[in-house]
Amino acid sequence: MMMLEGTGVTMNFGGLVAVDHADFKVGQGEIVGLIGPNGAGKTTLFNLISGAQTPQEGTIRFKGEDITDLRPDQICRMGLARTFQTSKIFSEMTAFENVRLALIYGNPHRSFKFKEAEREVNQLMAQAGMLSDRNKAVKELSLASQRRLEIVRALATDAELLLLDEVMAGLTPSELTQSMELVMRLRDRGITVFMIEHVMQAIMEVCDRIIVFHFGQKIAEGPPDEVAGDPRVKAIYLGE
Amino acid sequence: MLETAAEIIVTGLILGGAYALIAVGLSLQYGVGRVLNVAHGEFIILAALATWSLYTVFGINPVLSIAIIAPALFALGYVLDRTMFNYLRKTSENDDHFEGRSLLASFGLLFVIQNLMLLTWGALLRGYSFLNTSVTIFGNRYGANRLLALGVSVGVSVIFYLYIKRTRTGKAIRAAAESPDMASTLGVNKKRVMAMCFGLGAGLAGLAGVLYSMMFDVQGSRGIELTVVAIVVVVFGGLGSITGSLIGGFALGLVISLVNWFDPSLSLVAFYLIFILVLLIRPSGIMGRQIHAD
Amino acid sequence: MLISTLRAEKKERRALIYIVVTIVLLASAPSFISESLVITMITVLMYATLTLSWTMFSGPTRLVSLATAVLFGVGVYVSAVLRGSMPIELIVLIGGALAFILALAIGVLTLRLKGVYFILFTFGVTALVGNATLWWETHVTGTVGRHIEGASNSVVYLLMVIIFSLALLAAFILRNSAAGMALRGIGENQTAAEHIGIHVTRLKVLIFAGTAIFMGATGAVMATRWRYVDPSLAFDPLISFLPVVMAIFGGISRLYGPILGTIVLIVLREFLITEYPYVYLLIFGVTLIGVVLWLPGGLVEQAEKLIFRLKIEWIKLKMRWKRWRTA
Repeated sequence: MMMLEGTGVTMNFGGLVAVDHADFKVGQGEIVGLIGPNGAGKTTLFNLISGAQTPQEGTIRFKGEDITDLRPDQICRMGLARTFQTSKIFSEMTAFENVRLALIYGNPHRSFKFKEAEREVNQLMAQAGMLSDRNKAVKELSLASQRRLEIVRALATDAELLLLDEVMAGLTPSELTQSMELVMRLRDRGITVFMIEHVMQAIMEVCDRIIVFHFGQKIAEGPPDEVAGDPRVKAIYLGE
Repeated sequence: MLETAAEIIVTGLILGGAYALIAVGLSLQYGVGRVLNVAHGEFIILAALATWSLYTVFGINPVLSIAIIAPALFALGYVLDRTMFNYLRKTSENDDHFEGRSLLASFGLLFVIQNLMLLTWGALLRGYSFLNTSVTIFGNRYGANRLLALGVSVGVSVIFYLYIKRTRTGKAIRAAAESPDMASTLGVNKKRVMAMCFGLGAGLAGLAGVLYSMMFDVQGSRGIELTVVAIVVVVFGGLGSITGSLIGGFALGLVISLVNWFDPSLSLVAFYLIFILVLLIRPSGIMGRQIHAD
Repeated sequence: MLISTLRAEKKERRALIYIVVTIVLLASAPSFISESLVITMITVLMYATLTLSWTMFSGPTRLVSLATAVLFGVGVYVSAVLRGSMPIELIVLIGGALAFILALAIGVLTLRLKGVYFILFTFGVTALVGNATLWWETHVTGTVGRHIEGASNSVVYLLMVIIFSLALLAAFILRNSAAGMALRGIGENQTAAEHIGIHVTRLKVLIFAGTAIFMGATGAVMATRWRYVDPSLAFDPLISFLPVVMAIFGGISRLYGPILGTIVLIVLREFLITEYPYVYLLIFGVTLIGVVLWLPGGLVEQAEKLIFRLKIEWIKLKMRWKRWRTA
């Protein structure tokens, strides 16, 4: 059974077609990359999957269940979490509080209450190497740490599928390596990853499979080497 | 039978014209400037009271007053935006932050203007009669002042519509409404466009106020009622759509006129019922479109 | 690792002590203050409750509700209609319950939409309900102005202390609970909140309706103090507007901010109404604009900055004293 499956997904705004009858699949335990030029509809696709928007046509299934019309909080509690391109962590709270909130509301398997959540939160943050940062205000964290926090927050909801939206952008080379290692470690823990990325190094080294989007349509799909060698893909990037 | 239909329609247009004029100013200020100007009604009443003064004290014909008051209110709005709202724009972290703060600021403005009007004109009703003669159209009698108001509101609506759709400044305004940042990279002076739109909104409120004073007695505390009317029309026509406020205003006027014919005491209820129905069934209004996807 | 929890718990416990002390003081006050001061305190408690209730929802979510007058007015009319036929405590409860239901309706209608619709609708709903009530009183029951059997000042005061105390406790509990944090998350970024599992609409509607209970109860009590009501008094828009000014002026980041704002502005209003009755709205308006533009954190932020600066001066003084001693 596919972790995530979309058939004929279409989204248009007024006259503009953002996602055009897209079909896509993500299997359990895979790390799949989604690439394409700016405006290709990648983030819109993520919005449609996570429930932030509803497609006009098509179906999206998660773990076999139809999630096309569900709300984001429902989808989250089913085990599908995401991060955002423009960071949406709560900057008026500490890192700890951010994670705790996600743990309390997004995790349907927890059995403890708000005040008792401390141990769980610390555990989650330790796994991501952020234990020492946990009481810092979000504004004090570096960009890389903020990205990492957003991932931890998503994981706190007991996610089985994680949508990552350009988490590697703007990182230094060492931060990039750490980030890639984090993503691989996620897969080791059994989490499936679907990631939008522009940083080619990350895509080529981390992903098992890449989907290429252009003008809202899937134009190529396959393992990294195959896609990199595809003349159509080269054309759309060189034509920029 | 035809006479009744004519009466409903003409009355509806008169009412609708008033609605459209009252609403379009607010729509402009929110649609472009992102300012929820709850003091809008106060601007209208201010203009109405000023017209009263000009007429009763200086004997200036209200129609001529338009040429004085509308620009004066435009200037007031322009200055307010250039100073207060521009400062808020600069010092707010994001759009939502700005919207919240500017709402509170226009709140304060509401208090200030209402109190100033109270100090200047007192709490009594101020009225004058102007063009009270009746004109017969299709067998029904209407006050000449009301027909004048209709003419002005239709005229202004058409001019405004063409201005927004055809002229370069009009297009700049629409661009700024769609996407302020895009617009500034295209060379549109964002600060000036914002101030102009707020000023235009205030100027239209001024025009509405002059016409209002011709038809009704004015009281300094009536501003809130007018703001509520503007809000209902704006939501009905579609938040953020300036043409929606124009069309919505006229449409609403016709509907209310129809209800009025059946039972006058129900018209206010109908007005609010429509508000609730719009929110229930189609919040984006007649001409609505998603302006900001979250 | 436990230090952070302990520190947070200590702060919470301290706040709770302050709250309990406040309540005890308020309850026992009539025995050592004058009657006229009790009457002023009633007004203070009324607005403090309204402001606190308003802040509970609109503070964290940043959704400015202008429905306070309507929710209050509903309570007033419940009192007007039921007074005499049942004990006042029951009337107060029913007033709160009806306000809850109305707020539920308003919330379900508009809180699922973008925030601006909520603000606009609550602005208009006061006029809507006010006009509807006027129409009903005129055409159906023929009782536009209603006289209500009054209650003694001590009864009114006591009831207001109880309602205020409950509101204060509710505000305290909400602040430190998951729901309170969730509301702040919603206020900062609703999309993010949705995506970590928060059912945003449901939470907003429930909290909004919950805070309305205090407003309706307050209305029911105050009707027995006013003794005469009509739609323009019960649904006076100022009752929606003043709590907003008081909360912003006092500062919404701390629990006591709205209360501080209320006290200062009520005192100011009492003074202005007697000396300069025709400018008090003007001064409130200018104050609000000033606070929004230059003092966004309100009195609370200014007070804390002042305390911080005083602490620094105190430390500097101590250091200078030590140096003088050892020299």
